Amino acid sequence: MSSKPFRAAMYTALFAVSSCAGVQAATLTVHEVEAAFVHHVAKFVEWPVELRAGDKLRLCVMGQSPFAKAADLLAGKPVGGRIWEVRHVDFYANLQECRVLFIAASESDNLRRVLADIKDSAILTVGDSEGYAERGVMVNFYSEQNKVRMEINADAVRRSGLKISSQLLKLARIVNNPRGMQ
Amino acid sequence: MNLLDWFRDAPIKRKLVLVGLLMPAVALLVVSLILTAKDVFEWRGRTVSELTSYAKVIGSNAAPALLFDDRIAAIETLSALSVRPDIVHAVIYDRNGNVFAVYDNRSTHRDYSPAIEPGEHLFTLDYLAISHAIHFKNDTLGSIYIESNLRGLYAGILRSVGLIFLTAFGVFLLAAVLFARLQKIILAPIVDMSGAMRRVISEQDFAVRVAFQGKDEVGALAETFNVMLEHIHQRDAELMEHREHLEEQVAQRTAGLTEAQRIAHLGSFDWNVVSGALQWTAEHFRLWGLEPYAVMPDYELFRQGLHPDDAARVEEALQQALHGGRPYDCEHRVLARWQHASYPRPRRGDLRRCRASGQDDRNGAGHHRIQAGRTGHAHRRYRIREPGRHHDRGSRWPHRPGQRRLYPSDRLQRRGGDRTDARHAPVRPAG
Repeated sequence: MSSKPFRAAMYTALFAVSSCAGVQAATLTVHEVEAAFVHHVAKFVEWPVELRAGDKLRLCVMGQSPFAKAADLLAGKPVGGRIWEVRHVDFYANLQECRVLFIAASESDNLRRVLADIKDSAILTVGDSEGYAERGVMVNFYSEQNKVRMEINADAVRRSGLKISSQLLKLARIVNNPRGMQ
Repeated sequence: MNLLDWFRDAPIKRKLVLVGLLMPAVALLVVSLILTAKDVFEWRGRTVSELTSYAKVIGSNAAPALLFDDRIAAIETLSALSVRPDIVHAVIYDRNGNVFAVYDNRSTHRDYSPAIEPGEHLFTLDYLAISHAIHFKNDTLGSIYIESNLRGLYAGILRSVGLIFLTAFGVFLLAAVLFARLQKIILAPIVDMSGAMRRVISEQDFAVRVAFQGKDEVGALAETFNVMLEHIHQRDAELMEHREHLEEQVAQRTAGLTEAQRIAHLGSFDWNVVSGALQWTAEHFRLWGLEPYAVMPDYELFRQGLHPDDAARVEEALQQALHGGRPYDCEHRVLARWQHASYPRPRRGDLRRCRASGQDDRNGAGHHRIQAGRTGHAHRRYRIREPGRHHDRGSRWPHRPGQRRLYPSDRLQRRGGDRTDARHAPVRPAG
């Protein structure tokens, strides 16, 4: 099974990750796969009507992570009629313009405050750290048998006013115990 | 051609059965076949469309799994196909045509899957395979291949076709029953008429009549037939009556003739010279001194009755009549050698004078017949005196106009007078 077409697909427009993760390890980094996943997840998420204006879908990356570099690959790619716009932000940045917020493992200590700040905003929070989902991050990536999987905190999604397709929920591990949220 | 001949010669009942049953049978068969064909196509189309729907739904459900590279989810999605036992095999291919997830429910494992492009389907005798592209948000993620066995299709077609043919058969039975009832209306008068005609021919019974019902052509035919029979019957009856009457008349005439001959002592004979058949009237027998019809007359008997002196002349006259074309007209004496009850007792060797005339009637077959040979009554010159019976004065026995009177019997009678003193008159030569 050749991996080259996959890489080509990945870097052109489609961000398909339909190849084996085992092969991906050598070709696509976990963070690249995660970036593709973010791209796909965004297709299953519905933002409130007032936030759908504009032709940009801003992805904010908070903290230091190899994901930040992979996320840059998304910039300019079309997603559901809009195109990605990638911003690297820090703890103090204004997050209200973000539609998707990636919180790196380095921000684990600030997680509670960040989440509390955007509690009332329809911002899809994404992470790739263990326990993030339980702590209130809506979509959290983890590895299982060399493959990237995701867990979804359905309560957090419901509270945010976002809507995630049941098809996506079907693929993900659902976390219903938001220990991180009071 | 032979079939046409056979049909033409077949009994009308068979024709009717053929027309009445074969035609609906053929029509029903054709209709059934058309419906069957339509059904087969419809079932095929329905199966394809059903399978396509499954492919669309499953493909749509498997799209996220493809996106997120989740084979287990894809396999779970495919396993939903187990609600349809007909679906024996399904594969989800990724966008590069590599197998992503497989569902297998078939007992006989086949290693290959037919290569069909997405959107196409393949019908074989034992399976239907369709392929459908998996789209997600304007993006083609791969394709799904579904293979179904055709048991459901065949069972459905069988049910449907069975129903069609059962219905057709029912309709045919109904038609047959109706036909059996109705054909009698057409056929019975014809059969009746045919039987009546046969009876007329075999029994010569013109009193037969056909009972006709209805005012159609057959009814008209039966009526005409009856009228015709009536006419024949009438004519036959008239003919019978005429014939009976005729026989009666002939009997009367014959009796009258015989009586006339007896009174006139005038006999006649009818001689067919070819066959030798000789017929004498009763009076002729008597003239020859014989009991009427006691013996079969023949030429020898005739000759024996001739006076020996006249025999040659008579024979010559006969020959001339036969060959010379001259009418037979000859006078001769008769030697009545036998007694006869109806005559006054004759003497042995009694002589009678006879004159015979006749004509040769040659018919087309070359028969020579001396007919109406009127043998003159016996001029028993001295013996027969029966006033008022014959030989009144001046009356001659029949002769042709202008013919010379040969035998003035009145004179002879006057001269003779005595019955007991009979003498033979001298024979005058004829002519």
